[in-house]
Amino acid sequence: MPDPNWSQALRTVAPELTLTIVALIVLVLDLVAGRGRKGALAAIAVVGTLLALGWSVSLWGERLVAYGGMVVADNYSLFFNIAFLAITVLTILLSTSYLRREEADLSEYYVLLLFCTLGMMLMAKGLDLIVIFLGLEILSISNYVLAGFLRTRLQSNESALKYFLLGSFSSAFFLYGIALIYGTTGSTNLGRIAQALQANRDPGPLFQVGMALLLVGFAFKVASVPFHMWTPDAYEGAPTPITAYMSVGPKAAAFAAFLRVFSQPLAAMQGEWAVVLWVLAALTMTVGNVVAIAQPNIKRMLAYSSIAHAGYLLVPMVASGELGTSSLLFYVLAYAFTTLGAFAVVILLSRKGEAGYEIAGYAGLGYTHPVLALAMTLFMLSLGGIPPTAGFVAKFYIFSAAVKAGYIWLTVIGVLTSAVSLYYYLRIVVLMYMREPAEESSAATLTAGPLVTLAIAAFAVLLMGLFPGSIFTLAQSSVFGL
Amino acid sequence: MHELIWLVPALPLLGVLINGLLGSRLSPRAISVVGCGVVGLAALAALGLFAELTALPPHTRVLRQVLYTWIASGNFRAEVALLVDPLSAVMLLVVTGVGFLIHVYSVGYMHGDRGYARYFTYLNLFTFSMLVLVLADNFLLLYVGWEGVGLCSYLLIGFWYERDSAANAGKKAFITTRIGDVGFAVGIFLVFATFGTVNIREVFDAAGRLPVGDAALTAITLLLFLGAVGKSAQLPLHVWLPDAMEGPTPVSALIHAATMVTAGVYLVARLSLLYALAPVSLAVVAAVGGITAVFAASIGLTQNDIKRVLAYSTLSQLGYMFAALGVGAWTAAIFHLMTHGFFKGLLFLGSGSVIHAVHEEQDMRKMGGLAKKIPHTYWTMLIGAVAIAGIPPLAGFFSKDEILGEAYKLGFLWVWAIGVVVAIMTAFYMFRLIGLTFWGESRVDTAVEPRIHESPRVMTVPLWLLAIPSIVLGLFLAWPGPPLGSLFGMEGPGLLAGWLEPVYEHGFELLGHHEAEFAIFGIDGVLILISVAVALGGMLAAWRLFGVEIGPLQRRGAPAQVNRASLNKWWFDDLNHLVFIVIGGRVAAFAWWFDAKVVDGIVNGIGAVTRRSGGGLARVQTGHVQNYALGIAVGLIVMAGSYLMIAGR
Repeated sequence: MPDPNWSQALRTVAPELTLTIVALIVLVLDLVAGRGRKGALAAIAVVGTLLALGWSVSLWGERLVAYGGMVVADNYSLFFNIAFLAITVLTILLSTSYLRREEADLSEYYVLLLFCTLGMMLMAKGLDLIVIFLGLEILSISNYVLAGFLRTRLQSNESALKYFLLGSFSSAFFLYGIALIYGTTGSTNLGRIAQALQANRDPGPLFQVGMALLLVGFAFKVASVPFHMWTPDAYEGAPTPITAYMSVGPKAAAFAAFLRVFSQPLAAMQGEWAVVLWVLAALTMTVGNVVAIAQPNIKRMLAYSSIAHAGYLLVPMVASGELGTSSLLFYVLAYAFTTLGAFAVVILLSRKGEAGYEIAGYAGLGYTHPVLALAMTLFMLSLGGIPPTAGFVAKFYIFSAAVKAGYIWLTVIGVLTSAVSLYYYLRIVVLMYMREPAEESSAATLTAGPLVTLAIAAFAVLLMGLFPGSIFTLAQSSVFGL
Repeated sequence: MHELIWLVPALPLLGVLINGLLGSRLSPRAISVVGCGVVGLAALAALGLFAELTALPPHTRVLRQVLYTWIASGNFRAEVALLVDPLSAVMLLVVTGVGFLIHVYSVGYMHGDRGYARYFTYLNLFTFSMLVLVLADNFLLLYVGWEGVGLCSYLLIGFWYERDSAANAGKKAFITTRIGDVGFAVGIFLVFATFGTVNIREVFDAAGRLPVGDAALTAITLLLFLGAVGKSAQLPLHVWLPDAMEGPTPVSALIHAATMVTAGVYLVARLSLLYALAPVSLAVVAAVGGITAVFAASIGLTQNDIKRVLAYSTLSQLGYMFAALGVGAWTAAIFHLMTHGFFKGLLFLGSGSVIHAVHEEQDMRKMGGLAKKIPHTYWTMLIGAVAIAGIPPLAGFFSKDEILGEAYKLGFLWVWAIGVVVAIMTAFYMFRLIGLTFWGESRVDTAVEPRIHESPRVMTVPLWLLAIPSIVLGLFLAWPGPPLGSLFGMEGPGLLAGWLEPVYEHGFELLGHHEAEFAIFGIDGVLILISVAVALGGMLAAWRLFGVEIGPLQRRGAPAQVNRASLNKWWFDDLNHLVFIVIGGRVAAFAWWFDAKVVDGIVNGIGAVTRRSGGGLARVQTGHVQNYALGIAVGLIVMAGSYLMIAGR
C-alpha cells in the first residue's frame, strides 16, 4: 500500500534517516582520515546523533503513523528514542580514549554503534512485529560485532561468539513466535492482532505458544532469569564502553518493544502473561542480586546487577496500567544514567589491556581521587535505591505501581532483594572510604570524554532524585494513548 | 520564623559540604569551627522555633514549611515538607543540644586524628539526616533521614577501619539494621497501598475511619516497628549496638546513645495514633521492649569493657522506652528519651574521658582508683550514674518513675514488675562500673599509671554542661505535675506532659486513658518508695562488692550458669554469626556456584558433553553455549507449558 503522504512518512522516520546518513558518512570519511585521527569521526558521530536527537524532540507531541501502519512516531517511541540517542552520545564519549588505549581505534566502531542505535529506535517505533524484528536484528548484529571488537583479545571473541550463538537462537524463537501469531490471527500488525483477538476471545493454543515464544525472545534480550546465562560472559568480555552500552541501550530497546507488544494487542490476556512475568521478575531480582554479591570483578558485578535491574523493570510490566508503564519509562532513564556514570568511573580506573577491574582495586579511592569516589558513591547509592538519588525515586515509582495493582508480595521480594543488593553496592563505597589505597592500583587516567559522561550522569541522577517531577510528567505524557 | 525551618537541617549540610569538599585544605581549627559552629547555629535556630511554638495557643502549635513537591503522580504527592510540632520540637532540642556538646567534645577527643575532617563531615551528615528524620512530615522524607542516619552510623562505626574489629562491627550494624529497614520500607508501601498517601497527617485522618484492630493497620504498624527494632537495637536485632562501640566514643554518645537509636522510639511515638488503633501491635511493642530491657540489663551485669556496659545499658533503657510506648505511656517514653539522651550522653563522654586518661584502655579490670586523678570525669560520671539509677531528685528518677507508675496504673503489672527488676540491675551495674573504674585501688598498668591525666577543658566543659540537665531536667520537666508538685499540693500535668498533650490527646482518647488521680500519699507514694528502694538496694550491693575495699572481680553468689550466660551475652552473637555470616555467605556462594555450574550441569547431563580443553578458543566452549541454549529451550518449555495450563483453566 503506497503511502499517499510522502512528506509525513519521511518526517516520521527523519531521526532514523539522519542517523543512517551520518553513519554512512562516517564510513566513507574513514577512507580519508588516517589512523590515529578517528577522533574527528567520533565527533561527527556525536554531532549526527545530536541532530537525530533534535529531530526527535521536534516531533514531540505528534502522532505520525506511516508506511501502512508499520511505523509510528508517538511520544512513547520518541521518549525511548531520545533516551537511546542520549545513551549513544554518552557511550561515544566513553569510547574514544578507551579505544585509543586498547589500540582498536577504528571508525567502524562508531558506524556499528550508530547502526545499533538505529535498530533500537526502530524497535521502539515499530507497530508491526516484522519491523520490531528488523530493528532487533539490526541492533543485534551490530552488537555482536561490537562485543568482539577487541579482535586480539580472547575474552572479547568469546563474548561475541556466545552472544551471537545464543542471540540467533533466541531470534529464531522470536521469529517462530511471530509466525505462529501470524498464522492464528492473520496479521503481524499490532493493531490488527488486537482486532483479531477482540473478535475471537479464545485464539487457541497455537497463539498461546506464539506468545510464549515472543516472550522468550524478549526475556532473552532483557536478560531475564532463566534466559540470562549469556549476560555475564558477554558483558565481561566486551570492550568496557560496549558493556556499558549493552547493559542499558539494547535492554531499554527490548523493553520498549516488549511493553508495546504486551500492553497493546495482548492487553486482553494480561491475566495470563502477568503470572509468567511475575515469576520471571521475582526470579530475576533474586538471582541477579544474590549472585552479584560474590563477584570479585566489577564488570561482572555490574553485569549481574544489570540482570537484577531487568527484574525490577519487569515489576511495572506486571503491574501495567498508566502508573506501571510510566514508572517503567522513568526507571529506564534513571537506570541508564546511573549505569553509564558507574561505567565512566570504571573506565577511568581501568588500565591498558583491559586491566584494573578488580573490585579490590577501588580501595582508598576516596583519598586518591575524592571526586571520582564521590561520584561512584552517588551511582552505587542510586543503583541500590537509596535517597536522594534517581534510583530511589525510580524504585519508589515501580513498587508503588505494583502495590497499587495489588502485587504486595512482588513488592516485598523487590524490597528484600534491593536490601541484598545494597550489600555489594555499598561494599564498593566502603572500599573507597574505609580502606587504605593499595600499592599501585587506582591510578586513574583522567580523560575528558568519560569525565563529561560522568558529570552529565551525576547531574541527571541528582536531578531525577531531587526533582523527579518534570521527568515523570514527561514519562506520563509518553504513555498516554499507548 | 517558620519560613526558616529549613535552616535547621541546612546548616549541618553546609558543614558537610565545607568539610567534605575542602577538608583536606583546611586547618584543624577551621574544621572544628565549621563542624561545631553549624550545629551550634542549628541549635539556636531550633530554640527560635521552639520559642515561636510556645507563643502559640496549645492546639495550634504546628509549624509547617513546604520546600517543594518532590514526587507527584496523579493524586499522589509527596512533598519535601518540614513539620515542627511539640513532639518534633522536643526532639530537635535534644538532637541539636546534645549534638552540639558532643561536637565540641569531639574537638578534644579526636585531636590529631588523621581523619579529622572526615570525622566532622560524617558527624555533620549524621546530624543533618537525623534532623530530616525528625522534621519529616511524610513517610518518604522520614525514610530519607532513616537511611541517612543508618549510613552515617555505619561509616562512623567503621571509622577506625584499620582495626578489623571496627570494620566488622560496621558490617554487622549494616546487615542487622537492614533487616529492620526492609520491614520499614515494606511498611511504607503498605501505608501507601492502604491510604493512598504517605503524608503522616493524612494517614492519621484516613486511619481514624478504620475500625480498631484492622488487619492492614496491624500489619503496617508491625512492619514499621520492625524498622524501629532494627534502628533502636531491640531484641532480636540488638547485636549490632554493643559492637558499634568500636567507633570513636563521641560517636557512641551521640549516635548510639542519645539520638539515632532513639529514632525507633520517636517513630512509634510519632505514629502513636496508628498504634492506638492496633492493640496487637502495642502489645508486641510492650513485650519486645520489656524483654529487651531485662535481657540487656542482665548482660550488662558482667561485662568488663566500660563502653560495653554502657551499650547494654542503652539497650535496656531503650527497652524501657518501648515498654512505655507499648502500654500507652507515650509522654513518659518521650520524657525518658530526653533525660536518657542527656545522662547517657554524659556517661559515654565520661567513659571516653576515662579511656583517654588510661591511654586507650577499655577494660575496667585494669582501672580502679581513678576518682582522685580525674576528678571532673569522676564527679560528672557519678552524677550520670545516680541519674540513671533513678535516685531522686536527679533526672532519671522522674522519667523512670513515670514509666513505672503509668505501667502499674494502666494495669500492665508485668511491665511494672520487669521495670522494677531492671531498676535493681541498672543501679547495680552502674555502680559496679563506677566502683571498678574510680574506687578502690588502682589496677592500672604501671607503665601508664604515672601518666594518667584529666582531659582538656574542651572535653570536661561539655561533661559539666551535660551533668547539669542530668540533675535538673527531670525536676524541671515534671514540674508542677506529679510527683513533686503533688507533694506541694499542686495540680495538673507536668511541663512536658502538658506540652505534648495536643499531640497525644486523640490517641489517649482512643486508648481510653484518663487523667489518673495522683495520690502521693497513696498508691503512687508506695510505687515511688519501691522504685527508690530497689535502686538504692542495687547501688548498695554494688558498693559492697566493688566499693571502697577492692572488690572481687567475679560476681560471687550468682549461679555459674547464669553468670556464664550473661558473660556470653546469651550466645546471641554466635547464633547471628551462624545465621547471617556462615549460612548467608554460603547461600550467596552457593547461588553463584549453582548458577554457574548446576544449571549448566543439569543440562550437561541431558545434552552433549564437551570438555573444557585448555588454551585457545576452547574457552568459548561450544558445549557451554549449547548448555546455555538448552537452558533457554528448557525454560521455554516450562514457561509455555505453564502458560498453556493457565490459559486452559
